[in-house]
Amino acid sequence: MDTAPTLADYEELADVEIDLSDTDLDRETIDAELERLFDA
Amino acid sequence: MERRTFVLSAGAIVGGGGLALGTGAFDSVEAERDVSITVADDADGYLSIRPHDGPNGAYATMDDGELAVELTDDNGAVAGDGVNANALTGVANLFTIQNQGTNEVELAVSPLTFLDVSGSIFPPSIDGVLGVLLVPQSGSWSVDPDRGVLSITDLAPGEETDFSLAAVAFPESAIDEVEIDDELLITAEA
Amino acid sequence: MGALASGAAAMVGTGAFTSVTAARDIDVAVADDASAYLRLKGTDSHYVTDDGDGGTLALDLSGDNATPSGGSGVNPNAVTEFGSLFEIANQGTQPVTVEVTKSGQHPDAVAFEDGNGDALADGIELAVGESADISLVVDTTDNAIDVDEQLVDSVVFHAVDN
Repeated sequence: MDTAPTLADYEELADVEIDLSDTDLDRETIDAELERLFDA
Repeated sequence: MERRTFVLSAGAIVGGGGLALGTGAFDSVEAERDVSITVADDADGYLSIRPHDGPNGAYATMDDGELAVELTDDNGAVAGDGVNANALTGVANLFTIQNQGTNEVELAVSPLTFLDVSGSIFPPSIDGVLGVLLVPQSGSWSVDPDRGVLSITDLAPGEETDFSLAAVAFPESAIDEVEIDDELLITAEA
Repeated sequence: MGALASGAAAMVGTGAFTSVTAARDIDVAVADDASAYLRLKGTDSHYVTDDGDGGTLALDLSGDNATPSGGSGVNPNAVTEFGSLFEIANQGTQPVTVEVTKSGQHPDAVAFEDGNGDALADGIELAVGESADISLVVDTTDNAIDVDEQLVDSVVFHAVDN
């Protein structure tokens, strides 16, 4: 794929789910960072 | 005349044997040939695995010729001792894998997700979560459910791809509680 | 046989490998704020409730952290300045711009400034190894701010390479 992987892709690869509910971090922030790294 | 013919026949048989030898029908041949195989370090191998040329290459080390991703206090090249807790850390341009062979290869790196969780199931509590995600910086990647790897196809001779890393750590008690101490597997097949 | 051997030698020599598999170490640690790549280290000010040594930086300017002499918050309709509350340092490998975003009822009433008076909200640049002393200015002259209101409950630091 030519688009950046998302947190959901990593979770699928590892067969895990990361619960972010108790943190200030959200999926949008992480996905945005993954996209920045992918395009670096 | 007959005897002479016989001799010629014998000669023909010997000649046939000679031809057979030429196609390899022999008991033993000893021929020394030079075959030189050198073990290169990761940077100079046919599959070059090396820290990125840029400043973030310092998060990777070369130890005995082998690349290691090292975001700990063991890495003397970086002042910090690790990623912040309650934070998302991104390290772009961390390491580079280059095909220095002569064939096009398919590169696979696994796993891409590293996770360490500390806590108890009952009562349910989380002391620390550290998720480390490797990010390919090349245009071609795919999720392979069978192998659980990411593949970068068509890495032509001379072509390279860079990798980044994202780390998520939480909550505050994750400090010194969770750590990734693992291996990544890099496979290139022609 | 001899020809085959030569062929094999040539193959190795030019790097026409069919497969390479290599296992490589990956080690990542979680550090406290004082020693992490983005260093956040509180001073010994009363208002610093976690200096980041063994934890994550925390400031508390509320009744939960009253001063020994009874102060439990900033005055209404006043500008209060707190010098050198914490240090931000770049312990990574690249120059970065550090910004702060605040969340709460009145984020605009709270300003973090470096030693030059530059606002952290606008971003301050830190070279590798460089640090900035951060002060806090709280301005409650806005009429919309009521007594006992919590102005800010959390801040997020962003450090991004330039």
